[in-house]
Amino acid sequence: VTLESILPVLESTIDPSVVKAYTRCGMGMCQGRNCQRQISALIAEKAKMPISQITQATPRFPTKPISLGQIADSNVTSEKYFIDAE
Amino acid sequence: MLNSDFLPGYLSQSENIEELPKQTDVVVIGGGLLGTALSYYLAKAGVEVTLLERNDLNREASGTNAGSFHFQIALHQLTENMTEADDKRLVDETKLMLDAAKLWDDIEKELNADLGVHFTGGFMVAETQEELQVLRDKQRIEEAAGLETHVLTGNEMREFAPYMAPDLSGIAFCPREGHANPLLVGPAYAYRAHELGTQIRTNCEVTRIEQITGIPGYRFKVHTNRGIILCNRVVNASGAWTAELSSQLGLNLPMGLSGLHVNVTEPREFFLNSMIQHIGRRLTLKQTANNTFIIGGGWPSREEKFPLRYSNIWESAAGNAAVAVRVLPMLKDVQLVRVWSGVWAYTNDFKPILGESEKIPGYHIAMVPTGFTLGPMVSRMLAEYMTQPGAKTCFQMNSTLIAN
Repeated sequence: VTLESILPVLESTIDPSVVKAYTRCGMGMCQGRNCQRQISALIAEKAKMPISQITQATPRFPTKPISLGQIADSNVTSEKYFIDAE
Repeated sequence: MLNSDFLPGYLSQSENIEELPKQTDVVVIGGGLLGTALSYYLAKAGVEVTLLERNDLNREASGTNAGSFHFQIALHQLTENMTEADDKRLVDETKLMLDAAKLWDDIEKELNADLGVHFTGGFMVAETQEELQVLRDKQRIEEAAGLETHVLTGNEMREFAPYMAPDLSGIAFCPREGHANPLLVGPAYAYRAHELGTQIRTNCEVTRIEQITGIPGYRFKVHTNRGIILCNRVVNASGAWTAELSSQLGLNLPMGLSGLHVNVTEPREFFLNSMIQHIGRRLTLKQTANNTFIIGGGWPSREEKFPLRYSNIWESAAGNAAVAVRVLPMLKDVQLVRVWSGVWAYTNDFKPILGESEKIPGYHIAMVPTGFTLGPMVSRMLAEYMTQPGAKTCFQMNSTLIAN
């Protein structure tokens, strides 16, 4: 993800989640552990806000990548596809 | 054709800083896929529209789903003991899907934008003999409706999809299925609606819808955190919050909410062209244009109050992964890098709530549980209803709206 692709997004939002959705920054193997602070700084600079007021993209597990085989648990079952509306 | 680069900056801060218009013909509440699509189709028909979104555009279910076109009959449409009436219902529902498929065929031309639309075909897999029978039964219904599907078993199946677990009892393949990029479709509709004159205001939350009399041509006063706007018609397209907002007006909609869990993996060399679903267990699975795998299918996540994002449950990641690895064994060694979660709103019978209230003339609702697949089409249907006097009040609308 290049700075060039991020700058236009900053014209319309101060939400790092929106920046993420449009540019995929924070969606790579590091999941934002490297780039998140730079994004916050860019937003803060553009919006002339203190960096402490910039929200963070929603944190999601896993903290580190882990194989699907390692987490797969066939004991977790679900009888019904969807919860009943009533 | 526009590529997707136009999307991020299109809604300038300046428009958002501008005040609300004082009055408009239609206020559309909700900047998701239905709200943006509806604004576009109304504006195209020459209607004056103001679109209000309390957050940013396309942030909730419209932008947190996996972007799949689900045209095949799925698990949630089936009942325990299928009757002839159920068969007829499914034929009707499948015909609706075919109409939606036609809209998706043309959407990139319609909006003159690259939206990542691909018709790659889709699988529905079966593990047991009973499930295989369901695949055969549903194939018969789909054929009656005009939707092409094929059921493959044994060597034929293993040859057609060599990457799948060889001991599956069978697979159905629907060439018509595919996907689009859910992060682009809603914003593209908004962009084109804006070009056609639609006023868009984000960070603009509707707090109250007031019915008024005495001002000719205006039936509602919509109160927001950014002021008041008068309008003649309101469309509630607020997705998961449709019922909450409608209850203010005394309408009681049979809706429920659930969080849905999605697993995302690292990228691997591309090989899986078609989406995979399961006829008996919760699974949707596909490889994206970024070569990652997106795995979901209805596993729950924890509901949170707006503006918090729904939080993920570890058990859903684990159970979902188990089904995925069972069907596509190579996934066993693929790294999970992220999970995400989005809200999903459904109705009591999974049918759309679409149309105008009888109790409150001028108040419309656009809400559909299979929102990405059907959203653009139901939006167009409602726009037709609102612009063509005497147009049919929308197909098999959920009966409760009429009662309301």
